[in-house]
Amino acid sequence: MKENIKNKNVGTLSFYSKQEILWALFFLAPYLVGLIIFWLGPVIASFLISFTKWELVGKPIWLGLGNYRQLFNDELFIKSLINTAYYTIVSVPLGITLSLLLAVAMNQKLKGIVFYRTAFFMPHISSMVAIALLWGWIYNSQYGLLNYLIGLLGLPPQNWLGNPKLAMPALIIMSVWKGLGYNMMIWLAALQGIPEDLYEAARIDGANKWQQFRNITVPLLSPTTFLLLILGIIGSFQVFEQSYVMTKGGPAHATLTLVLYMYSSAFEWLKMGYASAMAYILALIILVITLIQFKYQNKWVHY
Amino acid sequence: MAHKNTLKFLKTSLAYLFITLGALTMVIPFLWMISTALKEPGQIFSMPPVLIPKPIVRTNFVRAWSSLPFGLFSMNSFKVSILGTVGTLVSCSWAAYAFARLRFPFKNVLFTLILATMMIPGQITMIPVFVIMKYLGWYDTHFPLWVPHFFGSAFGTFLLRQFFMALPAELDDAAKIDGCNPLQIYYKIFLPLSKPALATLGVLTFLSSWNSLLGPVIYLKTIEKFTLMIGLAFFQGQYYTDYSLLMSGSLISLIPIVLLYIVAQKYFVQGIALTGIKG
Amino acid sequence: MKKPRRNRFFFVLFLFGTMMFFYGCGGQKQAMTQDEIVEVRFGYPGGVGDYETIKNKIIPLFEQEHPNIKIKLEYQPWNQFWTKLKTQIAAGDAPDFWVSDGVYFMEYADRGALKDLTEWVKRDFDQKDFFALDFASSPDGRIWGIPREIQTIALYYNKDSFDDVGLSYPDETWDWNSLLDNAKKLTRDTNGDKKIDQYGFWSTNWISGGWFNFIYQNKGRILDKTRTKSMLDRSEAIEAVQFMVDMVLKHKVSPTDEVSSSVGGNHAIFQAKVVAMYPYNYAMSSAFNQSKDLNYDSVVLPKGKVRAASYNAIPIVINSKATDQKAEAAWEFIRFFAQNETVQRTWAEGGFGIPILKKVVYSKSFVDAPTKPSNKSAFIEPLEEGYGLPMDINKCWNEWRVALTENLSLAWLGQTSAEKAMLKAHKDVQKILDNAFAK
Repeated sequence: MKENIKNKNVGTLSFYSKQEILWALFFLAPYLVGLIIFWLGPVIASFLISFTKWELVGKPIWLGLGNYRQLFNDELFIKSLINTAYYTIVSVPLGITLSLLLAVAMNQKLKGIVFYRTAFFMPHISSMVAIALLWGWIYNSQYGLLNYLIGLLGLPPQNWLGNPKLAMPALIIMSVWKGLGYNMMIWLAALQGIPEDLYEAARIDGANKWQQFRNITVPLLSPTTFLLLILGIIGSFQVFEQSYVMTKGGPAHATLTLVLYMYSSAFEWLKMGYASAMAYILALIILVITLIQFKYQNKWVHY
Repeated sequence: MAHKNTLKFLKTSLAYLFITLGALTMVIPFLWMISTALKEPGQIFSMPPVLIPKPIVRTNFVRAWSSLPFGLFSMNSFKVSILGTVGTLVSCSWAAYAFARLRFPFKNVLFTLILATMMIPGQITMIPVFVIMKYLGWYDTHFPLWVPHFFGSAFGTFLLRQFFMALPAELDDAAKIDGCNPLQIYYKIFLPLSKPALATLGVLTFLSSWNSLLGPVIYLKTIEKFTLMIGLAFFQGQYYTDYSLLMSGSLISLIPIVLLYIVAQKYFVQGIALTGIKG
Repeated sequence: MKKPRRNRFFFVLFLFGTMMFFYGCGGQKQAMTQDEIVEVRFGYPGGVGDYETIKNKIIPLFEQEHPNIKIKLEYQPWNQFWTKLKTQIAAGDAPDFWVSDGVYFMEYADRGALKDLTEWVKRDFDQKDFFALDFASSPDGRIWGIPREIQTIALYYNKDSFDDVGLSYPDETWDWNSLLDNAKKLTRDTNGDKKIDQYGFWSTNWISGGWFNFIYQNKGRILDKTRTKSMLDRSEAIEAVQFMVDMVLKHKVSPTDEVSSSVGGNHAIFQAKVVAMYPYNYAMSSAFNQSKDLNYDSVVLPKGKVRAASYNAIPIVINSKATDQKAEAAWEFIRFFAQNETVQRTWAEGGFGIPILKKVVYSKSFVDAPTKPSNKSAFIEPLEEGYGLPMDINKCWNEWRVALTENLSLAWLGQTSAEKAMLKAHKDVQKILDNAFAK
C-alpha cells in the first residue's frame, strides 16, 4: 500500500490536497455509510455482549473478563482452535496451488473448454447438503467409493468419517475439492491481465512453458496470490458449514471448528456472551495474521 | 518430423484425458443429484447405491415445484440476487478504485478496517443487525437482503483493489495529461479493462446471494416473500429429508447459475492487449 | 459523449438508493384498529407436508368458529426455525405463540419466555380424555404447552427378513436376551459375497431410540428426578450402555454408527433392508411407506428389568410477553386444536404422529387406519401403561445430550470401554448441569 507515496510526510492531513480528500470521500461514500449503519453498531454491541452472560431471554449480566478467562481453560475451545488451525494450514496452500494449476490449464483455447470450466465450477455452486450426501457415500467405510478404490490398490478399508484421526483430513479433501472452482475463477480473471507479448518475448528467448510460468505468470499473479491467501486464511479460520452438515463436530470433537463451537454455544446452548467472546478472540487471531501478511507483502507482491 | 507431431498429439490427448477425469470428478454430485431426482422415492437408498434409476420417473420435478409457491420464490430470489449484484459491483468498484489509485489520509487504517469486517463471524452480529433492520422498518421485506450490497462488501472491494492495482499506472498518467478527473479515469479506463474481474465478482456475488439461506430466513415472515433456498429448506423435515423433492428442486435452482456462468465466460476469458494505450 | 450519460446513471442510482433507504424507514404497517378482531402471530416450524393441512384446513376451521380471532401463520422450515426464534426473542419480537420441539421447551420455560398454562389446563381440559397433557411440564408440575402430537418409540421390524430365516416375529414377551438372540440369527450374508449385508438390530449412539430406553429399562437413570444431577455413573446405566456397545462391537449384530449415518439419513438402512430391527418413532413410517415393497410392522420395545420407552411431544406454547388478549386468543387456538375432533382426525390422518385426543387415537383415524404399520398400538402402549418417559428435558438439555453423545462415541468406536466413557460423561454432564443451575 505504499506505492502512491513518494514523500515521507505521509500522515499529516495537510499533505493531501482538499481535492484529493473530496474525491476519496466521493468514491468511498457508499462504503463508509454502510460501515457506520450496518456494521459499527452491531460490532460494538456484540463486543460488549462478550463481557456479559446473556442467555437470549432476559437481561445480560455483566461479567467483565469472565468469559475470556473461562475460554482459556475451556478444553473444547482449545481443541476447536487447534482443529481450525490444522484445517487452515493444510487446505489453504493446497487449494490455492491446485486451483492455479487448474486455471492455467483452463486458460487454453481448447475445444469444449467452456464445458470443462463449467464442470470445475459445479461443486462450488452445489449446496452443502448435496455435497455432504455424496461425500458421505464416498467415505462410507462399508459401501463407499474411496474404500473400494483403495481396496483395488490392496489397502485395507478405512473408517474415514468415524475415525477421529481421519475425519479432519477427509473434510479437508472435500473442502478443497469444493473450493477449486471458486479459486480457479479468480485465477482465470487474473491471468487475463498478463499481456500475451510477454510470453511471446520469452518464447523467442527460448524459455519453455515451465520457465514462462515461473518467471512471468507467477510474479505477475502475485497480487492475486496475495488476495487468495488472505481471503483463504480469513475464510478457513471461519469454517463452519462443512463440519456442521457432515460431521457435526464429531467424531469425539475431531472436526469441531471454532465457528461451529461458537454457533452451538450461541444458538444451541444459549450462551450468547460466551460465544461473542469466542468470536472476538478469533477475529483478533485472524487480524494479527493478516497484518503480518501485509507487512511482508513488499517482499513478494508486485503490482 | 512425424515423431514430433505424434509426441504433440500424445501430449494433447494426455492433457485432455487428465482434465476430463478431473471434470468428471467435479460433476459427480451433479450426476448423483440427477439420478436421485429421476428415481422413485423408495429407491433412493438402495445399498449399494445405484446410479441409473430403474424405472426413470419424471414426476419428482413437478411434485417439488408444485408443493409450495416455487415460482414466486424464484422471482424473489432473482430480484434479491440481481439487485445485490448490481449494488456490489457499483459500490465495490468505487471503493476499490479509491484504495488502488487515490491518495487520502488513513488509507491503511481504513483498508484494514474493511478487511476486519470479514474477520468477525456473521452469526455473532446477526442479532444486533436484526435489531437495526427492525428499527429501519425492514423486517419482513427484501431490503435487508440486497440494500446492504449497495454499501460495499469487503470481499468485493479487496478483489477489485488487487485487480486495479495490477493495472499499469502509465494509463492513469496518460489520462491525467489529457485532463481527466478521477471519475473519468474510473469509467473510461478502469471499468472497461476490468471486465474479467467485474464478471467474476458479479457471478460470485449473484451465487452467494442466490444460495443464501440464513439471512432470508431471519428477515422474512410472510411465505409469499420467501426465496428459493427457503423453499428448498422445507424439504428437510423434522425427522427425515425428502431427497427426491430436495434433489429435483435443487437441480432446478442450479439452472440460472449455470447459465449465468456460461454466459459470463465470455468476459472472464478475454485476452487484453495492454501494449499501446487506447486513448 | 458518454460522460453525461454515465454521470447521470450513477446519480440516479445514488438517488434510487437513498429513496429506498427512506422508504424503508417510513412506517408502513397500518395498525389493525378493528376492535373485535384479535390478530395473533403463530410461529410454525414445518416442512412441505404440513403446510396445506395447517393453512388451508385447520386454521380456516378455527377462524370459522372464532370469527374474532385471526391467526397470522409464520411458517418457517423446521431446521432454521430455532435460530430464527432465538433471534426474534433476543430482539423482543417473538411470535405470540409457537410450536416448540418437545425437547427444547424447557430452554424457554426455565428462562421465563413462556406463559404458565397450568391454571388454564386445569380449567379447560379433562385429563382423562387426553394423552400426554402434562408432557410439557417442569419438575415442579407447572405446564407450559399442550402437545400437537406425540411421538413414542417402538420397534420396527422387517417381516421379510424374519421370514427369510424362519424366525417368528417379535412380540411383547421379548426381552434383551430374545432381542440379542434373534439379532444374531438375522445378521447374515444374504448374497454370498462373504460380507455381512444385513444386521439384526440398529444399536446406535443416540438418545431417543437408543441408550435412553436401555438405561431406563435396566432401572437406571440419566438424570435424577429434579433433572439437575447426573446418574450416569451408576452401574445400571453403565450396564445398559455396555449392552448396546456389545451389540455393535462384540456380537456384531448392529452396523457401526458411521455406516448407518453416512448414507443419507439413518432411516435409509431400514428401507434398504440393511437392518432387520429398527427402533424409531411413528412419524418415520411416512418415510417407510414411500418404499412400497417394504414389508414391515411394529411392536413394543423389548423389556429389560422393566418396560420403558422414550416419548416426545410437540407442544404449542405461548409467549410470556404476549398481551393478555393475545394470550387468550392463542389459548383458544391451542384448545381448539386439541379438543376439536375434526382437527384431531385431520392431523392424525396426516401421519405426523399420535394425536392427543384419546377418542381419535382409538379410531379409524389412527389405530385402525389401513396404513402401515398395522400394529400401531405398539406406539400407544407406553402411554396407556404409563411407561413412556420424556427424555429428562431441562434448560440445558441440548448441551448435556451432546456432551454425553460425544463421550459415548468413543465407546462406539471401540476406543474406550463403555464404563470409562460413561464415567467421563458423568463428569462432563454434571459440570454442565452445575453451570446451568448455578444461582
